Amino acid sequence: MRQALVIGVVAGSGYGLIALGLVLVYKSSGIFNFAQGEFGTVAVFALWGAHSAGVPYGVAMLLGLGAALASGLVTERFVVRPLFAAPRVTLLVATAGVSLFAIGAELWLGHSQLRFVAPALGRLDRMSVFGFHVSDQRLLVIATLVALAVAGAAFFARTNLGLAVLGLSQNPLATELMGISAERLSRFTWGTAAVLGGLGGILSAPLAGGFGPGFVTLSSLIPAFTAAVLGGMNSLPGALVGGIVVGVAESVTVSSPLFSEHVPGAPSVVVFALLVAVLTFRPQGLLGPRSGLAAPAERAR
Amino acid sequence: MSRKYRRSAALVMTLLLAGACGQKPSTIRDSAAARAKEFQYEAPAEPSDEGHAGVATPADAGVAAPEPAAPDSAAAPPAQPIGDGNAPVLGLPAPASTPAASGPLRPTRSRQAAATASDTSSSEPPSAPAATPASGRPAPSEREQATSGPVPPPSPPREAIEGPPDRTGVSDTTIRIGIHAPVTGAAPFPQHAFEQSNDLYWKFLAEKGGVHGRKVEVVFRDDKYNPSSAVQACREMVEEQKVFAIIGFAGADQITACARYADSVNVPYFSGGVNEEGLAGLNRYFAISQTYDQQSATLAKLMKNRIGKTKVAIVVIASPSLNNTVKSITSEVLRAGGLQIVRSSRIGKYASDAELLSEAQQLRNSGADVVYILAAPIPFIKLATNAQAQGYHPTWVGPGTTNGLAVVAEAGCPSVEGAKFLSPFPQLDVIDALDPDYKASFRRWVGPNPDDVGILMWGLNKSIHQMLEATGRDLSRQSFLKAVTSGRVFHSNVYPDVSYDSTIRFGAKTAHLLEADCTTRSWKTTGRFVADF
Repeated sequence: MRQALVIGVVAGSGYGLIALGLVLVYKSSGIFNFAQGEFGTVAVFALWGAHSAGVPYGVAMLLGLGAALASGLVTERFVVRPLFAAPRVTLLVATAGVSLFAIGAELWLGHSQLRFVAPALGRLDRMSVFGFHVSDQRLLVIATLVALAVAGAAFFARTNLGLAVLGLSQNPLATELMGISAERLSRFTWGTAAVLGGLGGILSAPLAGGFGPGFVTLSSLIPAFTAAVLGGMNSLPGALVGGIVVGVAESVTVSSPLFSEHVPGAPSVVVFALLVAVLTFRPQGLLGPRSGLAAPAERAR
Repeated sequence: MSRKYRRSAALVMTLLLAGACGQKPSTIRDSAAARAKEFQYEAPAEPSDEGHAGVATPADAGVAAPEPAAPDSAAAPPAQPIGDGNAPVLGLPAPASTPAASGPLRPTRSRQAAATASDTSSSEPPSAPAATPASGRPAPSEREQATSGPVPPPSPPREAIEGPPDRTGVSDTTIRIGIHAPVTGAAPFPQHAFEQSNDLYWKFLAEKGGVHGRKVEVVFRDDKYNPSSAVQACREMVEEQKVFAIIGFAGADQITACARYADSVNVPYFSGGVNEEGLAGLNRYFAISQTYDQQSATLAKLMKNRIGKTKVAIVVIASPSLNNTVKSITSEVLRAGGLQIVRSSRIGKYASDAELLSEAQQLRNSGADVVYILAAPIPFIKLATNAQAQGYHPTWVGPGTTNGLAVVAEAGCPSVEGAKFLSPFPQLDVIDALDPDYKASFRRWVGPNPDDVGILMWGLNKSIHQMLEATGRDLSRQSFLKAVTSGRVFHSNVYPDVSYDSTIRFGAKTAHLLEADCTTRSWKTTGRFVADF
């Protein structure tokens, strides 16, 4: 059981990293961003392409993040901004469309092929917790998640830019009347979310053993969405907590002989049941404020 | 948030989560029913390690009682020569009442019936077919198979062979064949390699005059490693592309779904061997290499006699189609003697990071030296990578097809070092000895570097060619089925020899043995057409 808890924290951190970008977009614009995973996949492809061409790993990582940033900005400019006045459901479907388009483009340009990238940090047994070896790459994921969740929470609570983003999400007209550019803020939000997605993809791809078109969407988007909802869609630290809760629920389920041997798909079922329970008894999520149940932009309407 | 928006988001989440579970509610229900039934079976005591959590005994793993060992299995030759239609069966006595019992071929269909018979606590072999299924009748559902006793062996309906000739997909100059494979999803075949070599054999053959003067056209579709998409692809190939027959390359659930659809519309369907559950009983389905169940005995002997380690773990994808395969490998491992199952588990088709990390840790804790793995390449590679990160290096073994592709060794090394998989096709290191035309043809029509995906396609198409050749110039689905089920041995020297008759749809008896060599990040063919170790 202790090992299961450690594994849950380690694996859940990866989900939390993707969930951060989901929460950021939702918090600032009220959109469930189904393209978040593909920002990560684009970054991984760019990292792989650059590193395979002989670019040093660190530079290739930056190029990957740049590719994610570019895909986020393109999505914002050509999909989100033209539809920003449309109902949120329309934007939800539009981001799902972006995701499908990106997977198609990855298939077209990169072909369906299993590829692999080396980890940024190679040591596999940096530390052992209850007999479970935690690698440097896993520690990097955890540290990045914690740092970003704390920084994100501080950004919204303590900076003017953060307040402006929140203001835009709650009342775009009033925010613009205060002289704040809604376009620039929207660009900032989507660019940041895309970089978070890229970071999640780049750090998790080496742990996955291989990647292909749609890698992050297929492997992490559902757990990340679940983590974001569990933690509270308006809370960046909630994404961290939600990711870990999902990871722990899955690992404890797998560790139980009853489930692993006799119930097909048990981890997903348990996570789903957990999600339903949390939404029933605490609809705002584990760390979300009571008012956080509603999407900010929709509240303003 | 508006109620409408919240509802839509909840709906999308629910659908995606349900998809992530990889189970339809009905299949989970059916699987649970089958499980419940399995637990009613009381198996004879077998050696097991009760000291380990997750230890599988025949009873708790839902395993059919091990059949008595073959009277003289030790006398069986270590490897079957090509074209030997008299290879002894590995400890699987043929039911005397089936027509094949006296013939040269193993009545592999009987395993399904035997397993079902075990479920009803009967040790008697299945009886002869009670009735010929009607044309186009869908195969019995898993629930029906689990509850209605022995399934009668299939035999092609009379109208399938003797009715008015159905020449769909056949013209005076061409034969159109459909192929589906998981290009995307958890078992991605290299798409480019597929596209460039899926008709390579037919190009080679066209220069030699084709099949009785006809050229073969190939229609290829991605089934996305998803049964619904697979049926959609097959339906499109049948209804719009008007293919003569369909070939499925890999993916148990996709092949099962498409084969059932093809059978319902009277289209011959061939695939690499996968599960038997859900496919046994289909009149127009033919496995062109050994099924997972058929490979179980060979793999058990491989573990015992070649690898020489004793603690075995079994990890299989959580698909209802593979329930019998779990029974089969568990039974064969226990029957082999000297092997001990220390863990038996099922992992999700799209297993998450947490699931695979936990599974790797559980395997390590179990102390398994050998892990039988039946999973798509991505979960397998992830699991092996996670195991390596924990300082755990078991020998991975399993049935093929997809895990024997070079890309798995390339991506999985060094975690998969020494892994051993049975495979219907050999690797590049021996293909020249088996078929010198392959590399030359590849270099002529595709490019300078022949690959193993090309061998996979080449060998399978070559086997299909043998069947078309045997049918003759007067080609219809009826005449084709008649030729295929004639009992004749189809010999490609790349894929194993296969032979079918009115009861046998799983007609291969051998496979190649591949071993991962991480110094070259590739598979080496360490056994050709093997059936025993």
